[in-house]
Amino acid sequence: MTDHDTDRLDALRDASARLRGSVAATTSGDVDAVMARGRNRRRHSAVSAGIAGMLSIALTVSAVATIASARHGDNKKSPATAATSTPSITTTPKPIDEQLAASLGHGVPNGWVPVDLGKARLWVPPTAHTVSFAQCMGGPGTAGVQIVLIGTIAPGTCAVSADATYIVVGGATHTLPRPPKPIRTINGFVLYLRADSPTAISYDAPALNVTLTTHGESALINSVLGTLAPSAAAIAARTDLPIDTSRWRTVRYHSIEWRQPASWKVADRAGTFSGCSVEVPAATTSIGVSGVPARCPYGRPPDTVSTPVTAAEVADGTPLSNGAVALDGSVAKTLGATSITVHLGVDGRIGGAILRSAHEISSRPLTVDGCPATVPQTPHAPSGGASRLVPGTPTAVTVCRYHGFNVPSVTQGTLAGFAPGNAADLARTLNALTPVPPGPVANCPLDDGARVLVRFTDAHGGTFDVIISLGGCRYVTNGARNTYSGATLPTVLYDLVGGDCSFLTSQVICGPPQ
Amino acid sequence: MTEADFADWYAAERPRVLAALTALSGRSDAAAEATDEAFARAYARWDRVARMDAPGGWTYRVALNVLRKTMRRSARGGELHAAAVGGNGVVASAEPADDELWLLVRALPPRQRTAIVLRYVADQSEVAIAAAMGVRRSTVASTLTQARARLAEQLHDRVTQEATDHD
Repeated sequence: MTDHDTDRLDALRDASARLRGSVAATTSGDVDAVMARGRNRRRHSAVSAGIAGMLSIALTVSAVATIASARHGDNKKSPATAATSTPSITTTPKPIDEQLAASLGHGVPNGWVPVDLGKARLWVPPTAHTVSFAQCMGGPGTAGVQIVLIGTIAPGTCAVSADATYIVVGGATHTLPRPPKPIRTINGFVLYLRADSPTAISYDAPALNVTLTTHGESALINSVLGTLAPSAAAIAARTDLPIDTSRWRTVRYHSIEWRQPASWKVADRAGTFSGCSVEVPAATTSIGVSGVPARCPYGRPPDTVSTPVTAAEVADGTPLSNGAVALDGSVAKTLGATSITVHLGVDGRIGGAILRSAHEISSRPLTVDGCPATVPQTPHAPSGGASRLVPGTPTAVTVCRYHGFNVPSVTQGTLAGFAPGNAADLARTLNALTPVPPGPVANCPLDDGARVLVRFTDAHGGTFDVIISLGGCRYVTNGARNTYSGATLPTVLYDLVGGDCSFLTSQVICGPPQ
Repeated sequence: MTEADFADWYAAERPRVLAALTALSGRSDAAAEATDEAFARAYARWDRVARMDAPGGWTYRVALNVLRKTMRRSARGGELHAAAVGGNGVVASAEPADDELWLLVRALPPRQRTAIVLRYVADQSEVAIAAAMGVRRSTVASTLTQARARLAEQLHDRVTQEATDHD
């Protein structure tokens, strides 16, 4: 360094001295304000370590930084203040039926959807977004942590701003000693204060084995927190909750038999291409291969289950209105070589009852109460059936679909799907079909034997069938009257019971008959 | 360690901390906020901070972290980081010519910039600077050497350029 350099650094020393003097002259600071700020920080310091630990588990680094910055510049009222003063929070433990009511969402605002984590459930607005910590960060140690973001945050993102409203639902680790006294009781579940800071509050709910960390707008947070309830999985595990299964239907598949609500559909996906082409709607029991689909004509997402052909899945049929909010808590039961997986929906009692009803039987094809095990060749003609496919005024109808011979690994004529239908609508559709003119029977070379049997129940409890050919000439018959299936009926049936893909050529065609 | 001790320490240290942060950031408002936050945190655990070998170093470290986050947040919010680019930073320097000098300081690499400011503006020892920066004392010494050389070079270039402009 030369003398000139030293002179230039002397300039730096001089400028520094001037800067210090300038700062000292313009502002002397307010030691009282700083000390008051320090006292406030000290008051929270005993628990702030806990909140930092919790958030370090559950939030991204950027989110933690945002919280920290919010602490410095945020003068908002602590959520704790409003939360503890809101009258909607009860302090009296509720009996189990009221816990069930809370789980089912009784009293929550219309449109709110449940979010489950382990034993706990929260109901959140439909605009809320749920992301798992693994989605954001990945890596080990992140499983079982959900971040429930409530607000106008882009779906699928993990970034939260300082003014975001969110709840972190995490599996309780209980690394800190629990305070001796409960701070709140919600729907019968005692909450203990785990950590408190000006911008975030963390609660332990040991009975539900979760820790809930809240941040942001207190009224909304308090409303959500007030819905704390047992998850569907927790409800499913209970055997003392009432549910009427007397009218449920028995389903048998391979070596397993179970009972399920009578209104649910059944779809054997063995006849679909890689298990995807049947668009399985809500309230459907889908049976068969669960694999990664190569082509899914109706956008059915890939299954993640990779069990062999004897897997069965049951969805309890309560659709979620917000695709971003997913229920966690599918429960599987293995019986010999067969497993049944219940994706628990809103009401965990249904899934629990299904699982408890499942038991092993002698191996057999799919059968469902109400459908013949194999398709009859010709139905017995009903009275008045020569003039109308569906005479009289039937009171009920079930629709049974049967595989054709072009589906690998299945036997022609075995049951492929079941669905209850609307008797009046189906009768009207069938009776509007154009009759086949008398004369020689046409040659129908493309008939693969796939059939749909529509079984009507009349006012006296008797039944009669209408059979529809899904291939070839697509004739419809009740044993006395023959019609063409027309353009509408195949789509109606496909919506009800799906259909097999065509495996006739190298090109696999899935979807409703064209 | 009493509140009076803290008040005395605060009165003595605050101008230097504030000056250092102002020089680093070019933002007197952000510097004042970070300074007060750092001292508030020091007061919150004054019984421990007061017994530290270099309480000033601890305070600088906290203040620098707070300032860094504040500036990052400002940058995310669309507010240009004046300290990094010169620009509209409000530097409480007494002489207009000092502004250019601080711009050169802020153009140094982050570690050199921090070391220079803590050494010259905050008048901290190498031990305190090491505590503030979370590095070894030897690292502080070498960093200061590099920073001085680079700053001297830049000042030389500036003087040469000014002379050329005048010619």
